[in-house]
Amino acid sequence: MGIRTKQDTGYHPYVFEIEPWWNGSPCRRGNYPSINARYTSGTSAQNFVFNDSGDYSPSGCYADLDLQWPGNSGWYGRNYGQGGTSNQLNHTGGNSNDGDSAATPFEQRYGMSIWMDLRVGSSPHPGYSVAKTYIAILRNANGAHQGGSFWNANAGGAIYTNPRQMIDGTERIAVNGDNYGNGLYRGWSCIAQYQNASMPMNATTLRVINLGGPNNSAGLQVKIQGFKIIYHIAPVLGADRYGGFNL
Amino acid sequence: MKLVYPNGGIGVHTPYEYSDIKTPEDFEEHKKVFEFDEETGTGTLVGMDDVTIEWELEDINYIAGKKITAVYPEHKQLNILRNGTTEQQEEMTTYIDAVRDWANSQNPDPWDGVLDAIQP
Repeated sequence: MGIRTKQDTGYHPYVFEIEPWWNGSPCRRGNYPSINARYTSGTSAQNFVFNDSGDYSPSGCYADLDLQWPGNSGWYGRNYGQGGTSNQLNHTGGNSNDGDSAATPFEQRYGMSIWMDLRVGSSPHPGYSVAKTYIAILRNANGAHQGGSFWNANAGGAIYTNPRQMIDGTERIAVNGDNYGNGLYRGWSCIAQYQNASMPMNATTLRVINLGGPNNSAGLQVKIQGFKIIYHIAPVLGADRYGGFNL
Repeated sequence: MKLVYPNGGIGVHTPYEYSDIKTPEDFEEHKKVFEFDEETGTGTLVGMDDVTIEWELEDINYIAGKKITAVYPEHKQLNILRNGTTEQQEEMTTYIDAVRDWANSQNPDPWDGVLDAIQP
């Protein structure tokens, strides 16, 4: 556990962030995946649910991003920041061995946000309602059944109707965008904010699938030119609120 | 490289260059399936996943390139071409051609021993 030399000061919230990588470095304007749309008309994307193996890898319509840094669960580290009611800072009692026993494996006082910089479409200034597409963000699960896949599985095999979502709700997300000069107009999109969610210890890859959208006759490509995963650490011992948001 | 599961489902799909699976041993490790006791964190190995690797052209070309430059980095190739003996040039050409032939063969598998058998 990090050394804490002075107690009862601070209690300031803090965050840290990680960035998924594409081809060996973080997604950015100079290094990004371009993902074609699977559906180009109608409500197929809007009503999409995962159902079979092909749904997870439509040709040209997905990109796998590398998670170089871990999620925010703590099964084995067991060195927790302050904030949990059961997973206290190990040193607070003056016994650095306290963390070896009794700690509940999950630190529930983490919050999580996700921001992305997305180019949507193939032309500039399409209007807010036009360049709209749906994306899914899934993760793998090393050590689980079919651990390198993005669907859940058990000893009986794959469960294609049950995707391994990055966090709850990332199975289908509507996003808008613009594509002026492959990134001459830019902006962050909030995909999730202060979610009471954790990324598991065994996720090393994220898969982003561009499901497409209703106004997609030209095929609204998605380019991921920025991707931030932010972990929020609660400010005070036992806190269950952070910045006015319930965690 | 693609991880391919039964029924053709495609798992992690990333260039070999950036994959964390670099060797057959890495792949065996990746296949392991554990079940956990959530109270204690104890993991028990319960089996091995049925998964194969599908190599892609960019993987094969990358691996072949590394195989060549491990013995003949570009500066060495230039030096041999510029003022190497005929014997040195022939030796280098034979090696590089053998690796390239492997890369251009039908469904080359970097881990089946054929590539390893090519030596200068």
